[in-house]
Amino acid sequence: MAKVVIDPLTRIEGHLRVEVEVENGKVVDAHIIGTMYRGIEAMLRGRDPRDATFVTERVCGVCAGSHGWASSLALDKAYGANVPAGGRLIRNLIIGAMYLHDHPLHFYHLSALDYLDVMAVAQYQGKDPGLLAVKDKIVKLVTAGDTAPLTPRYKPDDYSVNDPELVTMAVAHYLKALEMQAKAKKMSALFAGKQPHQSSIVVGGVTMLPSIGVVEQFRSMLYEQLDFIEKTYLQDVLTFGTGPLLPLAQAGVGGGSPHYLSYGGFARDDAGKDMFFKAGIIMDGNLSNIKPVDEAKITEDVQYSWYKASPNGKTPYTEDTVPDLDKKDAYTFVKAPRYDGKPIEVGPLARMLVMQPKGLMDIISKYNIKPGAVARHAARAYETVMMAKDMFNWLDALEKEMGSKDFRIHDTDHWEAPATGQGAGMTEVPRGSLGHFIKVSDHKIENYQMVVPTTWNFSPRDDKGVRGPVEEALIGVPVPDLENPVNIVRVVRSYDPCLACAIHLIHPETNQIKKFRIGW
Amino acid sequence: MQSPKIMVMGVGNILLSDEGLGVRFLDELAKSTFPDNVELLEGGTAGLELVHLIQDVDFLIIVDALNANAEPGALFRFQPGDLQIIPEQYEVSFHQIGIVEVLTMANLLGHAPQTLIFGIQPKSLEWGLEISPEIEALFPRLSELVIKEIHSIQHEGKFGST
Repeated sequence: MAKVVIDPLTRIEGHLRVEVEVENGKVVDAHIIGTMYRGIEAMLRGRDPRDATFVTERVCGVCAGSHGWASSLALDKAYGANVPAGGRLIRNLIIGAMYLHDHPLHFYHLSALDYLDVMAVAQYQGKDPGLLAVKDKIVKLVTAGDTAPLTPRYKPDDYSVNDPELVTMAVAHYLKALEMQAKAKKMSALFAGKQPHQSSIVVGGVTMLPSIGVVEQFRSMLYEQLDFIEKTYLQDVLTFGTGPLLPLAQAGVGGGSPHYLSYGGFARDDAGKDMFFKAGIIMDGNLSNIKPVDEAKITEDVQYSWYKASPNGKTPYTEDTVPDLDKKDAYTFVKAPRYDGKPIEVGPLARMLVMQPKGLMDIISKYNIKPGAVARHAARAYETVMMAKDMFNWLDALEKEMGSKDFRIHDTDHWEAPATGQGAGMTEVPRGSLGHFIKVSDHKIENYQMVVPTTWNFSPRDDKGVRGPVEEALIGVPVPDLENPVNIVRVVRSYDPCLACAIHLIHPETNQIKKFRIGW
Repeated sequence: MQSPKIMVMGVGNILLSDEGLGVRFLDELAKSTFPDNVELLEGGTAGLELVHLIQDVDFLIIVDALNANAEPGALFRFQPGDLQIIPEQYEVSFHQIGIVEVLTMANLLGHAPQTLIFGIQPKSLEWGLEISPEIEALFPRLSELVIKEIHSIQHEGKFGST
């Protein structure tokens, strides 16, 4: 039979396109374009509020659970539900396990290939039997012409790591991470019933009562995860970030807007006073002035988005989402969220800058690392270790609750929708600050809005013409070779966008658009 | 001899009409009964998540939509080694990791099953839950072919020789 190429056809959640203009080897302008309209918020109007938890989860199959959690937090407020400690802890553990799944996967499987010259594996001269086995497998694949999953889409450049020892180790860990991410997802499913798209978190708590055996199974899997995350994942990120990638880290390539936000998340007490991730706002890079978050300062602009301006205002409770495809100057389906009128970065780097854990801050100051693509990877790895460690405390607290006479996982008194109500579910999910905003009237959803991490980071220009965070982060990024815009990919991917992506480069001399397709 | 573990996996996106033919085909196949060592799995649009699900499988039969620039309904039967993936066309995407990449990953982890793929050229990839009638009409025949392969594995310990 003749050789054929399998095209995976269309199996994507969404699309992201990046258009940059390059002059003298540097990016001088950037537009981030979300090319898909989902209509999920519009679909929710008029429905039973409880549907929102399960419908919004279908926004994505990767950040599964995150939207269900944020939605339930919003509904808890609208319903006046009091989530019992058992429900709160199980929710935290379900989403915590998603962090253990998402972050290493992002580093090893979605990002690392942008930094590695994988073919260096063939030059490995060491004696480690595990690494020799990796070398053997890779060489066999190369011989068979079948290296697709490991071949970067862009050519290695001056920043690429090509030390055979380091690269072989990274590839071995890439394979190990495949196994670990499957196990982390299983952990989440132990408490959530299934993954992706958990089925336990609902308004008022969770629906699945774990046995002590399941809790212990989760705990033993957590030990294995922590071992991998601390000794392998974080160690790899630090080895690369303070080694071959230090020039990128110190140059702060991909820095972006100097404003950072964390809503705070993972309540460790019933009152929600003690949060694992702290809430805070940093403006103008001033790390010594962390301000409290004021929900009322969140607005969304649509001047450059394919939506009609909302007649009732710009806040998530009042705005609507009505497409307007013919709008002049609009270039994206992503809205432009702003806090106090400013574009804001959300995600691991923002969270870590708000919390400033000593271990991470010491590394940052010792090596003089600036906010940027490499710092984002470091923050992501560091917070994963913090998360895994704290999850042991949540498990202890859950076991203690399970031993008490009035152990409950759900507030069954607040299950039916109220006649009216409103609430915001604002929390921290792997990619950043996630907010769901619901308004209930006549026991139905009157309005629903989601302001998601990728909307904050990948927002277009706002009504004042100010670029969104990633657009800003791309300005000045070196692109010495137009055919090989690997630095752009590194910057964009460091934000862990939950979208597929294609990049267009506008060549300033000829204005010819060169098309580079990449995906996530 | 211990019974080999056999899996029939249907993959594709059922929201895009014929793109989901692999998943929809499983409904037809499930009309037959199978011994315990045969598992039918809806692969859907999952990517890397499939790797650990095929790790302890000995024989894997995949049914998928295939773009071979042929007429709608054209059927292809091949093994992964018959294919060549062009690295530049490979997309580093969680959602676009195709089934061939999943097999390569499984191979790297040392657990790739022997694999046979049935691919059908779709007629329509438009939005919609309905499958084209002329594609659906092929399912009974495809079901026979898949069952023949399962028999061959059970009795000969290998795929058929067609």
